[in-house]
Amino acid sequence: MAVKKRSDLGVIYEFKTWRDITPMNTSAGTMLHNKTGSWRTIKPVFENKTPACQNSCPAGNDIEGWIKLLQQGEYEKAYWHLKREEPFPSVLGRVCFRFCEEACNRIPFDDCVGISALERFIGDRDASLVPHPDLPEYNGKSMAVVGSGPAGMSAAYFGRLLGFRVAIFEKLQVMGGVLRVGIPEYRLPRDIIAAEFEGLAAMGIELRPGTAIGKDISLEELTGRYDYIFLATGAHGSRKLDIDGEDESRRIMSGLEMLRKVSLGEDVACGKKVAVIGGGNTAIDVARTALRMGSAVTVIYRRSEDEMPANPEEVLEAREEGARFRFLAAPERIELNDDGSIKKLICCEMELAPADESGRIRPAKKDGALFDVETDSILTSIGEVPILDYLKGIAGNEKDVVAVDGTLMVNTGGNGKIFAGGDIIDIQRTVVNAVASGKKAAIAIDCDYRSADFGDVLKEISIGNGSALSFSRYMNWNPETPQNIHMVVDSEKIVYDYFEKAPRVMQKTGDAETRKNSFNAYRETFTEDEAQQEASRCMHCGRCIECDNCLIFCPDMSVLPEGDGQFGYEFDYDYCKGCGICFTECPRHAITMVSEEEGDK
Amino acid sequence: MERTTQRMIEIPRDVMTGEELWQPGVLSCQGCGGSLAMKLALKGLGRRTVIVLPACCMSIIVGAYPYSTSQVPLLHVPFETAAAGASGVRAALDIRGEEDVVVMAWAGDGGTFDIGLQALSGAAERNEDILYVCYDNEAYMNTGIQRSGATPAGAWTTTTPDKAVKEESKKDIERIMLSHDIPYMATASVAYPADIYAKFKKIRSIKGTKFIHILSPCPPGWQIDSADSIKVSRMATQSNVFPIYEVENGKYTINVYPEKEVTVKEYMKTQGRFRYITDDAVNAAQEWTDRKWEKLKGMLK
Ligand SMILES: Cc1cc2nc3c(=O)[nH]c(=O)nc-3n(C[C@H](O)[C@H](O)[C@H](O)COP(=O)(O)OP(=O)(O)OC[C@H]3O[C@@H](n4cnc5c(N)ncnc54)[C@H](O)[C@@H]3O)c2cc1C
Ligand SMILES: Cc1ncc(C[n+]2csc(CCOP(=O)(O)OP(=O)(O)O)c2C)c(N)n1
Ligand code: SF4
Ligand code: SF4
Ligand code: SF4
Ligand SMILES: [Mg+2]
Repeated sequence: MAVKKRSDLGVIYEFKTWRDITPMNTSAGTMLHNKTGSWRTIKPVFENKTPACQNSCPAGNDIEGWIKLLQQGEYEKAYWHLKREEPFPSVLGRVCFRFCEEACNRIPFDDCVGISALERFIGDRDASLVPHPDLPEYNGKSMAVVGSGPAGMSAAYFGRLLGFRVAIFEKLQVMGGVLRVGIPEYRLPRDIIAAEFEGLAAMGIELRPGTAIGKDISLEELTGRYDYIFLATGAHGSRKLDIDGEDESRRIMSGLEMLRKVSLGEDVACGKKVAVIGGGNTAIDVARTALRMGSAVTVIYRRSEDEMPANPEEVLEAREEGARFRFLAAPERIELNDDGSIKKLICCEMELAPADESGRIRPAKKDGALFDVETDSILTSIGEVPILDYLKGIAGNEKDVVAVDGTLMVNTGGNGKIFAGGDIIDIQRTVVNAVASGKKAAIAIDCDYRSADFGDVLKEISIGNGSALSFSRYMNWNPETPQNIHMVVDSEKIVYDYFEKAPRVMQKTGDAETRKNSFNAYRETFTEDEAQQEASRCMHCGRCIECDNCLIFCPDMSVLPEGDGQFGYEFDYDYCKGCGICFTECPRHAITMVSEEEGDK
Repeated sequence: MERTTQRMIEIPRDVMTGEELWQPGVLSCQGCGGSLAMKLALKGLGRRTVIVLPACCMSIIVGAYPYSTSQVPLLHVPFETAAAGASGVRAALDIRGEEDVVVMAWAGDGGTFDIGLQALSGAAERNEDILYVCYDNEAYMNTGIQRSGATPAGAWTTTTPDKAVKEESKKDIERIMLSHDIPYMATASVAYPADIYAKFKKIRSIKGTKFIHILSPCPPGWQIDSADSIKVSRMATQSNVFPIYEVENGKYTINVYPEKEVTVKEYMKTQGRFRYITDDAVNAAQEWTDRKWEKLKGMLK
């Protein structure tokens, strides 16, 4: 035990005969013979846990872990630590919808920690091409990833960290999927994506742009050439409005196609007035892109603003940039001029019926409540669907998505080991969920290769009570302090009395006027000072930071700091009476009380 | 008004991990505020200290002769004689030229508010160069939870049993001590350890009679879970039932303005000893608390 011995701390007198005893009862000797530890029925143990933020991140990002390193000024270490669970901090630090921040324990106190801004700071600062520190030898097996979006990128990254030889096949000439051809440049600059791919290439991952599976190479051929296949071809087909006039005009285009064309530098002419149909994130990106090309934009959505699936912050920014919204309205038909241009778009007012059995509020047309919208073009964004032609004859699909089992494996009836993730399977369509599915598939593939039971592995590596998996735990990259990743520290377990309120630091954001005139990014990465200031707001939920509270409050002097400059403390169970003060006064719940008898909690 | 959270003044790490003058093996109950208060006080005072200890829980906690957990000299004296005993030790040390040694009388609330008040008043009137600490667990705990002058109104004790809870309010010992014009008077609480540490460090350089009144929770006496004893003490301050302040040569400073505000009712609800209190008595306690707090703030001007 590295703990200081009691004899170093105090003098132990031994009284052999009564002659050794001083004639007056001034203090001499100690009570160290009185092992008060025997009074205990429950005992404290140091045990780090999962903070609420990490629990809510689908990718299981160890936020507290790298914030701690950031605070120490160890930026490069923070970068690599972050990438152990979430490989693309510069990307997700910009476009993630931030489930972690919604769960941050700081919210009931003042405001959440600006996790994504900090993540972006770490990603941008150390997006270095130094060799990946965790890179293993190849294990002799190969893996083909189809589609270079975030799901494919993630599977390739983790697959390579598990020892697989990986190649990514991409239909387009550019890599990145929606990151590259969907999300506009002003939200995610192209050099950021390019840097992520340079990083992947530097890990030895082969990049094959311009190779469509099902066209340039068949899926059968691919399964013959690679031990494992991961499909992540995303949702690149667009739902149609299904109204009269839709197919006759070139002035009606899918928003996704418009975004792709703009991203690839192709010519797109929208005209002066643009109507965008839909209320999701794509619709907002389409609207803001059209605004930047000088059009006046009206977004038409059939439900009310509250039901809009788009991220509220982006809706707000679109509004600031001048987008107009027409809620509770749906296109009815389109009247065209002889030259194919749009005469008018006729919409119908909608009303919200009470929620149906599925709980979703259905909009219904109001009889006869038609109105005209003047517009030069119509951009539709009412839903994206996967295009799965390449799967025909190999595997079935249900309701537009690929059917997978609990390990993300596709049932091919024994024709190759094919897994799938991202937007083509039935999960929430976000970048972070795509990344999470890539991680999960890589682990499932590794389990298959090692003949390990995925179910058993899941029990070990699932974080908190969510669906996220810990890659570090899978790799046995265990932290110094014992960690119970299944136990979540939520706000009820935080002792807020120990924290001071502090306003959140926001990233500098360009004003709407300058924003809407350019495709340049309008939010600035934190400076070091800003990052440090914001990081200092993190309460390090569930993780000991050596605040000394337990040491200070123990009435029985039974918390001993580790010696030799080692991190942490040990309990002196010879004397600890099990009062539980250290447990209740740990501001961040890094101590657990366990029963002496059963050893349970 | 400036607001303070708990750890505004840190206890230096080397102090916490350094020499331990209050060794484990102590006979205190689980979660005892008294033992903690003594540990923290000695962190601030250091080795050049003599403790004078009248009958109280602490005289048991420290261990029975010939053993003692204290690593500084400690003299047991009769119940009512803490201040007189300390004055005597002071005189003896002065004769030996050991003027830097702090003589600390450490008595319970019974030994201070009640039976030891006469000796304490005498020493304060003579402005003896001693530190007098009352660790206040709000009853005679050592002999089985009897009511004292420090027991708050509404509390159950074995001498105010069942529904016949104490009706009288807590005696205003601070005002009594201040009327002696002593150079230093402070309150403190184990919920604010950095503040205890700072105060005990400070008194080393003050000549004359120093009085520190520390709220020290007693889990069996207050009928609380031992794990909650710090939390409950903190609520005593958050509710202004026990404000943390100091008076140096007549100048008042409030040391802790808690961020969170708690009602007296919420504070009382955490403790079994207030189980029988009536709503009227709770309201009266709230009024009493508010009045005292306003008066205290008035003293700042
Ligand atoms: C406009 C828009 C904005 C969005 N904004 C956000 C946002 O801000 N935040 C967020 O979290 N989510 C956002 N999303 C959702 C998110 O982008 C997707 O959920 C995510 O990109 C899905 O990743 P993926 O890897 O499954 O597919 P994709 O990113 O779609 O990548 C699939 C790739 O596969 C390629 N491919 C397709 N077929 C083949 C084939 N046969 N052979 C080879 N390659 C093929 C495609 O060309 C594409 O590059 C947005 C989506 C859209 C459409
Ligand atoms: C003259 C005298 N009367 C009574 C006692 C018995 N006695 C010892 S300790 C004690 C109670 C002390 O109460 P307090 O001072 O509040 O200290 P606590 O035990 O609560 O810490 C009593 C009544 C005594 N020792 N001497
Ligand atoms: S305070 Fe820090 S550790 Fe706690 S939930 Fe928020 S970001 Fe996570
Ligand atoms: S505060 Fe001390 S005595 Fe109480 S449980 Fe913790 S280590 Fe044990
Ligand atoms: S109280 Fe502080 S030092 Fe002790 S376990 Fe909790 S975080 Fe660590
Ligand atoms: Mg008492």
